[in-house]
Order: sequence, then C-alpha cells, then structure tokens
Amino acid sequence: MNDTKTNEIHEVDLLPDVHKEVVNMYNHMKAKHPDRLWMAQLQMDHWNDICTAHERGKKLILTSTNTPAELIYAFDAVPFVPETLIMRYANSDKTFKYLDLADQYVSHQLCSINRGQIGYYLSGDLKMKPDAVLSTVTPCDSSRVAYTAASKILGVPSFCLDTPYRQDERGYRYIGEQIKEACKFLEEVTGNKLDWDRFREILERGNEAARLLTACSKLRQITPCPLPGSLLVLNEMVGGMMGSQGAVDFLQAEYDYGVRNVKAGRGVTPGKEQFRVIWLQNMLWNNAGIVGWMEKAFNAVLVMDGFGYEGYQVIDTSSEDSIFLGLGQRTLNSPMVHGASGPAEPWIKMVDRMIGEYKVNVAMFAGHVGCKHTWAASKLVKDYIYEKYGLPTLTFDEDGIDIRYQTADQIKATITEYMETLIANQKKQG
Amino acid sequence: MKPTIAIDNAYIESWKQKGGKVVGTVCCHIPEEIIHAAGMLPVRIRGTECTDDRDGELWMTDYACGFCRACLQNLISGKYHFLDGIVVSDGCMFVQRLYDNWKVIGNTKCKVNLNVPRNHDHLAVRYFVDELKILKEEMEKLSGREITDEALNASIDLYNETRALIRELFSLTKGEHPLVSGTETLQWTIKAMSMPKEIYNQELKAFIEEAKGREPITGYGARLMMIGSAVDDPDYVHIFEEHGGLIVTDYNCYGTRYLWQDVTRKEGETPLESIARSYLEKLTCPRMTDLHDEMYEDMLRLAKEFDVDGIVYVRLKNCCLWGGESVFFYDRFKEDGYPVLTLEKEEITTNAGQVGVRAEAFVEMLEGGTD
Amino acid sequence: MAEEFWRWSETSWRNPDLEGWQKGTLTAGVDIGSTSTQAVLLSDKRLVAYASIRTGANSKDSAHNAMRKVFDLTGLRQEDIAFTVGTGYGRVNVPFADKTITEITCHAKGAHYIYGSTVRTILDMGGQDCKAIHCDETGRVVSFMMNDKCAAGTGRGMEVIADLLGVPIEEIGERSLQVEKDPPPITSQCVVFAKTEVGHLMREGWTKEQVLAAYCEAMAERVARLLRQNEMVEDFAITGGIAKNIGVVKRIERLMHVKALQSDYDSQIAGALGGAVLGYDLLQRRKKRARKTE
Repeated sequence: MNDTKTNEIHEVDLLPDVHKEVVNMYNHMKAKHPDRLWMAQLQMDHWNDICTAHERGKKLILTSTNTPAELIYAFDAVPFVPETLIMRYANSDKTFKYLDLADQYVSHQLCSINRGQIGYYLSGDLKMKPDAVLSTVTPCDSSRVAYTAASKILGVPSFCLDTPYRQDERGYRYIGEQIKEACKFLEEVTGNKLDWDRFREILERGNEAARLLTACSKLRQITPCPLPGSLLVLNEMVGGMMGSQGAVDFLQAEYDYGVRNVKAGRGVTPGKEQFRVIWLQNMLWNNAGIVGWMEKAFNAVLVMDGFGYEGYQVIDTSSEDSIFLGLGQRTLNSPMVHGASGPAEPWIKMVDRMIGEYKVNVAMFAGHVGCKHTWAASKLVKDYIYEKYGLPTLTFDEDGIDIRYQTADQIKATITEYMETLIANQKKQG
Repeated sequence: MKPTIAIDNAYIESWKQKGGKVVGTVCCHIPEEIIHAAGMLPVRIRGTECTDDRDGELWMTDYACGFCRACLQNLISGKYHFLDGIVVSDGCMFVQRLYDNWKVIGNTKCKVNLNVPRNHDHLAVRYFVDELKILKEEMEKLSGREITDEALNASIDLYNETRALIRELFSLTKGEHPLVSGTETLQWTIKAMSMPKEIYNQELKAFIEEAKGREPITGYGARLMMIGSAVDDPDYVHIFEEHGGLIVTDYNCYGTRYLWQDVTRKEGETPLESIARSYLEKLTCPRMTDLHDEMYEDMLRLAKEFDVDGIVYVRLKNCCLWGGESVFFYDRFKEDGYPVLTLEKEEITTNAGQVGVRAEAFVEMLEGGTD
Repeated sequence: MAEEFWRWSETSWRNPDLEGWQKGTLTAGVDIGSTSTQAVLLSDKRLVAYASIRTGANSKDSAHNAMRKVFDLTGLRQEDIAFTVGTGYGRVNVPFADKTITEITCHAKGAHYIYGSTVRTILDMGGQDCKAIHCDETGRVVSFMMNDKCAAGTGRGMEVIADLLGVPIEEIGERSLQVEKDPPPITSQCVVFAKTEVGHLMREGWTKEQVLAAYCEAMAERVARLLRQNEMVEDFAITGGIAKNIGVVKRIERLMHVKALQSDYDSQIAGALGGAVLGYDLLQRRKKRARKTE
C-alpha cells in the first residue's frame, strides 16, 4: 500500500508558501531556460506584488478575474484573484486539504475552484488576510458563494458588482454606475482618493495589455500556429493584473516570441502542424501539460479556447463617463463571462467566429465537472458547429482542479483514442 | 394524502375555453402581478409529474439540477401545451439554461428572459424597473391589452390577499395543536401557482375555516422546518410526515417563499417601482448576494415562531446556490441550538425508503429517547 | 454449480462464560439489512448470543431464521423475550418486534456498547449504504450523514468484485494490501461501470491484487468523503460487514488520519445489539413510569 499518498494535514501560511514555490520556479527557469524567463517573470511579478503588499503598506483586495483590476491599482492597492492560487496548486495534493475541508460546509458539486477557495478561508491558512473583497456575481452560482464566503469567513468588508445575464448597453451602464459606487468603497477601504490622472495612466496600461492580447490572438490565426497552447493558460493570469506593467511586459514578450516564430515559419509542433484544436470552454488547469503533449504526440495545437477568446476591450479614457461605461463593458465581456456564463446565443456565435478565424479542424469540450452551466448549454453549441462545419466535438469530463477525479493518463487515453480515429480517417481520405 | 393539483387542471381548461391566455413562469422572482394585470393567467412551471427526464438530460446533461431538467422535460413532452408564453428569470444557472435551450427548441410563441438583479440597492431597483417595463410591453403585446397602473394596483392587492391567506394557512401549524400538515401546506401553495388567484383565494379561505374546526394533528415526534432548494413535490414532504416528523414551516420557493412578503408601496413610487423593490427585498433564495444575513435571521425567526425542533436542509443535486448556503448557516444554526439534517435530493424521487430512514432517525435524534 | 466467491460465512455464537443469564430481563434486537440479518440476545444488557445470516428473499423469514438460531443456542422461545426491537431497512418486517428503531440510532448505541463511551464517530458500512454517525458519551445520535443508495462503496459492490475476480470475499482485504504501490483508484462511482473497468484492467495486465487495491481505495475515498462531510471526531469506530475488510479499513484510516477502535465483537452485530440495548432501556423507563403511576 502506498503510504506516501496521505493528505498530510499541516498548517501552512499560504501566500508565502506559494511565493517560495514561484521563486524556486523562477530561479530554475533562469538557470535552465533563460529564453523563457518572461513566462516565469509574469508569475514572479504577480506573486511578488501580492505577497509583499502588506510589507509595502498597500491594501490587498481579494477580487474576481472579471472585476477591473485597474480600479484596484488606481487606489494604490493590490488585486488578488484567489483563483490563481488554486490554479497554481491545482496539480498537487496540497489542494486536497482545502477541497476536503470545504466539503464539510458545502455541497461537493460546487466548482472545485470555489470549493478550494472556501477551504482556504475556513482553514485559516490565508494568514496574510486580504483587507476587503471586491467581486462580481459572475461567472456562476459557485463563485457567488465563494466570494461572499470570503468576506463573511475572513470578516472583511465586501462590495459585489451585480452583472446581468444579458449583455447589452443597459447592462454595461448598470455596471458602470456600480463601479462608481465601488470607488467610494475602495476609498473607504484604502483610505486613498481616486487620482484621475493616475487612473487614466493605469487604464492606458490596461489598454496596452488588451491590444497586445488581441495581437497575440491574431498571431495564433496563422498556420502554423506560432504560439504554444500552454500560453493560453498563462494568459488567464493577465485578467487579475490588467493595468500592471508586468502584464504588458509579459504580453509584449509573448507577442515578440510569436512574431519571431512567424518570421522563421516556425510552429510549435515537432512535425507539420496537422490539427488546429479549439476547446469550447474550460482549461485543464491541473493538467495544462496535456496541451503540450498534444502538440508533440499528434502535431495538434490548441489554437484558441472559449475562455481566452476576445479577451479584453480597449477602454475609451476620454471622459469619466466613457471610462465607467468601458469598465462596465469590460466586466460583462471578460473571459469566462462573455462565453459560457452568459446566454448560450453569444457563446455559439463566439465559437462560430473562432472556428472560422482560427481555421479549426478539431473541437474539444473538456468539461470541467464544476462548470455545470457550461455543460447545460453544450449540446446547443456542439450541435451548431456540427451542423455548420460538420465538425464533431470530443466531449470528456474532468475536474480542472481535483486530479483525484480523472488522472492525466485517463484524459490522455481519451484524447489519444479520438485523435487516432481522426488520423485513420485522414489516411482513408488520402 | 389527497392528490396534488395537476399541472394540466380543470381551472386552466376552463380558463382556456373562455379564450384566456396562460403564461408559464420559471423562478419565483418573476412578478406574476404584471402578467395578471394583462388579464392573463400566470402559472409556475414545475418538475412534478415527470417520471423520466431523458430529453431534459439530453439537452442539459446530468450536470444540471434535476428540477430544471424535469421542468424542461415537462415543456418538451407537452405537459404545458396550454402555454401562450413563458417568462424565465436568470434566477440561477440552470434556470438560465432552461431558457437558453427552450429558446432554441421550444414552440411557445412568446419567450421572455427577465434579468433579475442579485443586489437590492437603489441601482438594482432602477435596473429591475427597466426590466419590468420590457416584461410589461411583452405582456401587453401577447395579451393585446394595455397594462395600466390601475390594473397593476388591483393585481398587487389581489396577490397581497393571497399572501395574507398563505400566512394564515401556515399559522395553523403553530402552537401545541397544529391543524394542517406540511404536505397540505405545500399542496396549497402549489395550488396557488396553478390556477386563477381569484378562485384560489376563495377556496383557501374556505379551507382555512374548515381546518380551524379540525381535530389537531397528534402523534408526531418532532416539529421540523424544511429549507433549501426548490421542493415542488408534496410526496417528498409526506415521507417526513410518515416517519414521525411534522413540517410546520419552510424556506422553499414552492412553499412559503412563493408568496409571503407583501408587495409594499412607498410614497411616490409607481406600481412597477413598488413591485421591483419588493421583489428584490423579498427573502427567498441565496441568489441574492446581499441578503444572506437577512435570510438567516429570517429563518431563525421562523424557527422560533413555529417552535421548530430541527431543520431539514434539502439541497437539490447540482444546486450550487443552496448547496453553498450551508457555509453561512451550519455553524450559526448549531450555535442557536437547531440540529440540521442535510439531504441531497433528485427531482424524481427514487430513494423514498432511504429518505424515510433519515427522516425517522432525525426524529429519533430530536426526541432524545426512543419512546 | 459454480463457486460463489461472494458468499461470506454465516455465524452464530453463544457466550460460554455467562452464568445466570436466564434470570435477567431478556431483550432482543433484529437487524434486517439488505444483504445480512442479525439477531442479538441480551440479558440485563449482557450479551448472551447472536446469529448473523444472509437476508433471503423474504425479510420476515430472515427475521424468524436469525431469531431461531439464537433460540437454538439458548433453548429459549419467543415468549421468553421481554422486548424485541426491529431495525435495519427491513425493520417493519420483524413480525415479533415490539418497536422499530432506525439502524442509525441502533448502530450508535451498539457501537457505544462495543467500543465504550469514548466513541464519537461511527462509520457503518452496510450492504447497501454507508452512514457516518456522531454520538455523545451515552451513545445518543448527535448528527449523521448517509450516502445514497448505491452498490459501489458498499458490501454489495464488494460481493460483485469478489465474484468477478474469483477471490473469496473474506480474502479481499488482505490481498488488496499485497501491492507495493497503490494503483490509482477505480474512478467509476457505479458498480455497473466498475465491472467494465475491472475487466478492462485485467486485460491490461493488472494483477488481481492491484485491481482489489484500486477498488478498496475507491471505496475508502468514497467513504472518507462522507466522513469528512459529517466532521471527524475521535474516537472512531467502524461497524457493519465491511469493517472486516482490512484493506478498506486501513485505507480509511490513512485517508482520515485516525485509527479505528478494535474489538473482539463481530462488527456486523452492532445494529441488532444497539436495538437490544435500546429495548432494555425502554423497558426500564416504562417500568419506572408504571411504578410512579402506581
């Protein structure tokens, strides 16, 4: 019997713990892969900022990915998206303790991303306590629980932006109005006043990141795809850093890397790029390596996913009104919200555009079991792309956080079976 | 137990025969008063009478909550053939998806999606008023009748009368001599959402009078409050009452939470504004992000008022709103001295025996001894 | 006839050291579970005898048969028993029961009897379901959780695996520990799919021990989740048939970081034993009340 698999229950100081890990990873990259240091730099910047916030006399604001981070930076505070913490730990058994603890208090059908967060709060391991919570009600019912739980369990003030289901002008304005109220909240929490010049400067930096993200996405439309699928996972971190120089630097480096590859006619697959894959929604956060494995094993590159597609709009900073409207729009159109957590129709249209723009020939629905509303609309999306493009979708269930649900080997076996069928069919067709 | 009113019942048949229009609603955050003010009959969609939800599962998958799957199944299978329109809120993830799927596959002529805010501050009320204006226009189009403030006020009054009667009905479970069971109260609230309120109010009034003359219910072991996800099936409540419990009150959107708190009027408000504010303020469902504490206090108040011995917390499988709410109340109920029995429920009950064991064991536990 | 590997042996036992028990108040508990039925006889709460048999197609017959075995051992007749409690899923089918009490209440009381007053968390792993029960120092239930009716993670599931692999059910636990490293648990929650998976693994070249390890691990993880939901407070005890499977017990202990209390009693009799204890307590209370009113 394997005794090493015990879920050791030990006390952890979560943020310094993750910080230490990231520093190790950074140093490793520096020594072994200096050409890829920019990838590690993003994580280093991200965790440095969070973990040293209090040392630097800054307030730490727990926030969700689709809350405008620029707003938090504008109040000289540091945004901390707890999802990034659980994603960081996703591929390790460190997560189990928190998931199991959460199970005592909530249904285990809640998304594991949120159960993990709830576990953090209940465990007391988040010793560097955030000073306030600023969140939105999207993307799902689980997250609605998790952010409220953060404020109630940690005993810190909170402000929740109500984001409507439908995405329209009236909704953007509604959120914009609430963001104005959120400014008052942040004023109180941070003790700082909103400096509009500084705010604009931060927003422009966010705009720069948004433009670069779009540019990187455009590069992915080229065949062969010059950027590896794994970078789509890293791009997800940018949401919680919009407005920071770190996000801009990372995306600039990503873009430059992509351009160099394009110029050299270089793709990311060892052989000729055979398959251009989209994932309709979620990422395998705990098994992001599978994306790289698909490239090597089948010359199949993940060109885009429903998560990161059409990431962030540029905000018009010409007036206060345009800023709040732009932030409202950004909130409703950010990754994860624009697709699967709004009505199905825009999601279908989004997938439709993706397939066209990225010359996709393989569709996969990596169904994170916690993302139940995505599942509940998946047939609509899959039927649509089958009818329009004749493209079947490989559907499999997985838990993007809890590796106990489905191991990497099991997922790989499913993908292999599917890809081998596609390859056999290709051969038949000559 | 007496049978529960059918989805397709004689009241609806008679309404349709007279040329009346029927509008289905999903989620109790949809103000039926607006549909009623257009001269139409609002009926709340339910998942009961569904014994096989294969089409619901096909479209929404097994990851959706069984209640919404069964509701979709009932729509697909034609149980709601009499609907002229359907209004669905964004109450929770699966209600949203029920709408998204039905929008594509459904044959109902008029389909409206209502955005109900999850906050209840002034901005949310203002947004909701605008949403209700859209709903009003859609209902005017469907009915061919203008919805005047006068009509809205009359509907509010009628619905408030229903609310008062439902509160009176539940008051009959109070005290040492309860006169009605939880199975009956749920049957009555379900009846309220399945027929015209004008007739319903008269029938409920008559029932209350009749019940007052009844012999009190005896022989039960514990007074229980059922809280949690949508329970639209009186048979499920009956399992508890067959095993020694008496459900004296609930926190269930098909029970007390359907029509409990009045639509109140504040000076200077239009009827739509009163409706919008009252519906956002009402304590019903954990979907509201800024009412968790209020909801707990309200549940606690009910538990005290109805002299409850224990709480039965039912969470539908895959319901994350109620599935997560326990993080806010488990410890508090414990501190306040109310034991909680947690049950996971599927809409189609196939484990009545097991639920019965849990119910009976819970009652035994609350009784302390076994005699 | 093909060998039936799932068949566990029926047992009956009479306390050889007990004297004068005939003079005490005799109470009985009969626990009709989905796969096994137990009858326990107490004299003034002292264990006299018990029998554990397979539940047949007819619950009433099973109740009679189990009780008959106890009578055979003790020479008693039904009318000698002062009070009988029926428990288990078939509790309403104990024709001679004076009262029925759920297996949750009975198992807590039975575990309290077997393991003593320090036991706080009881895991009852039966043929058809699992229960995590918290009790106080008197064996009174404080809270409980029960998993849904599902063969996987229960005795019935274990029986299916025994037959599938041709391993006698009593050997499963020991053999599941004869692996150097635990393979990943069998992921299927449902025993029907687990069957397919077992077949697949055998074809892949797994040894029987590895498959058993994977199955026991899956069962332990499933049970651990239930235990966590109801919060784990020590001391911890396991009752029911699967308590005899050391492969599952060891894995639960590892996952939950606890040691389960040990006892010489047959873990399967906890429910019926609790019933007999509760029957005795009840009888005493009734007698006391009767004396007061006299």
